[in-house]
Amino acid sequence: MSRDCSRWMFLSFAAAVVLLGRAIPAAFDDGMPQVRGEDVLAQVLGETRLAVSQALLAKADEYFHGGVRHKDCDHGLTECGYDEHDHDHEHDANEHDAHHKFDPWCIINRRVHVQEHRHMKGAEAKELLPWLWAANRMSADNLQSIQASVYVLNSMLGNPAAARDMLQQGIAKNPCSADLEFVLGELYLRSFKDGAKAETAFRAALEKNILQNDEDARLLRLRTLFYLGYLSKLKGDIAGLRQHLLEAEELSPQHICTRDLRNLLQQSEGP
Amino acid sequence: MRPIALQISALSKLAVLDLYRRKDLAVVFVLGGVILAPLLFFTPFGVSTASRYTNELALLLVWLFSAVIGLGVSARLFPPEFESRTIYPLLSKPVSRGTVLAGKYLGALAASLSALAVFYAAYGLLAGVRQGVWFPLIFWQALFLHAAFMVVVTALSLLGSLTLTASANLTMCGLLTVGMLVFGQRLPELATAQPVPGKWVLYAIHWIAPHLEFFDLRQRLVHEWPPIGWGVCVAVWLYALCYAAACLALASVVLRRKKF
Repeated sequence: MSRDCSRWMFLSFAAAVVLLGRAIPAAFDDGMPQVRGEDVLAQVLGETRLAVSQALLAKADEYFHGGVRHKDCDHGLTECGYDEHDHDHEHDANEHDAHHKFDPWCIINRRVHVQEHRHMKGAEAKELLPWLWAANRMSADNLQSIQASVYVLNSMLGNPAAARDMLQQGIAKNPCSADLEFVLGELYLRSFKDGAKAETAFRAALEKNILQNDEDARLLRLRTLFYLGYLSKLKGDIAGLRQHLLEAEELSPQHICTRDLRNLLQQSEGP
Repeated sequence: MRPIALQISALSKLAVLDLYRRKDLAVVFVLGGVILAPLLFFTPFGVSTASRYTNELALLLVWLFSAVIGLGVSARLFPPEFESRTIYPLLSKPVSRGTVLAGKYLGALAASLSALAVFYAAYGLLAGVRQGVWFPLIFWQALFLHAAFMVVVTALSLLGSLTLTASANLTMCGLLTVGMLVFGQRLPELATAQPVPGKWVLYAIHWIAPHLEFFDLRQRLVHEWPPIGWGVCVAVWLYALCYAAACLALASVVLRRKKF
C-alpha cells in the first residue's frame, strides 16, 4: 500500500514539475531571470563570442602566413590592406639571431620552426575557409571577419556570388554598418560590373555613415564619395559629380579621393 | 651480458603487454574518431576540399594522446610494484636495480613508440586520402622527432614516479610538457621582458627544462613547408638521448638509495 502511495506521489510530483516547467516561461515571458538567446552558442558563450570569433580570425591569419603568427606583418587578413607584396621581414630574424647568437636552444628552435614569411595565394586560400566560417558563425558582430571572408571568396578564390551572399547575410545582421555596404558596393562595381546596384550600396553606405563621426568614418565617407562621383561620371551626370566633389572638399580638400574627384571632373569638362 | 639482456627484454615485454591489456590505445582511437569524423564531412561555404584544419586537429590529437600514453605508461611502472610489494621478489631473482630500471624504461618506451607508430599510420592514411600526398619526407621527419619526444617524456615520467606520488608525478610532467610545448620557444623573449628575479628564473628554466618544442614539426607538416636538414634532426635526437640519459641516471641514484 505504502509502495503504491509513494509511486503515485512520485508520478504526481514529476507531472507537476513538467507542467510548471512549461507553464512558468509561458506565463512570465518578459520576467524570466535569463533572456532567451538566439541559439545555443549565444546562450552558452554570451558576450565572449566576439573574442572567440577574433581568435578564430587570428587563426585564419596564421594559416594565411603558412601557419606562422607574424605580429609585425600588417598585410594579413586581420588588417585592411590585403595588397600582395614582396616585403622583407628578414631584418627581425637577423636581430633575433644576433641577440641569441650563443644560445644553442634558440639556434635549434630557429632551424626546426619556420621563420620565413609567406602568404597564401590563389586556390590554396580554400584552407582559410573553415576558420573564417567558424569566425563568422561564432559572432555576426565581427565585421573584420566578414570583410576577410569576402576578400578570400572574391579576390583569392574568384567566387563573387558566395562573397555577395556572405555580405548580404552580414548586412542583415549588422544593419547599421556602413563598412559592409561600402564593401558590397565595391563588389558590385568591380566583380559584377553592376553600376546601378553598386550605386545603391554606396548610397546606403553614405547614409549609414552619417551616424558615425570618427576619423575612420570620415575616410570611409571620402572613399564612398569618390565611388559615387565615379559612377556619376560613367552616367554622364556632371552635376552629380560636382556635388560629390563639393562634399569631399568639405571633408578634406587635400585627400587623394578629393584630388581624384577633381581630376574626374576636369576630364569630364574637357580642356 | 646475455642474462642481463634477457632480463631487460622480459621486463620490457611486461610494460608493452600492460598497455595493450588496458586497452588505452583503443579508447584514444575511438575518441579521436568521434572528434574527427564530423569534421571530415564539413563543407564551409560549400567548399569541401580544405584539409589542413583536419590535419592540424588530427596531429594535435596525436600529440595529446601520445603524451598521455607515454606519461601514463611510465608513471605506473613502479608505484604498483611498491604498493603490492612485488618489487621484493623481482629484486631477489636476482635482478639488479639498474637492470629493473632499464627494463622498465625500455618497456615503457617500446609501448609508447608502438602506440605512436599506430597513430602516425592512421594520420598518414587520413592525410593521403584527403590530399593525395602519401607519406612525404616531412612526415617521416615528424615521426622521427616525435619518437625523440617520447624518449624524453618517458624518462622524465619514470624519474617522477620514483620521487613523487603518482598523481603529483602526472600533474607535474603534464604541466611541464604542455608548458614547454607552448612557451619553450619564447622563453628567452619572456625572460628579457621580466624584472630581475623573474628574469633569472626564466633563464634557468630555459637552460634546464626539456625543450620539448624541438620535437614538434606539426607546423611544417600541416602547412607543407620544406623538410628540415637531417643534421638538425640528428642534433635534436642527441639532445633527447642526453636528456633521457641524465633523467635515467638520476632515477638510478634515487632507486639505489630507496628503502622499501
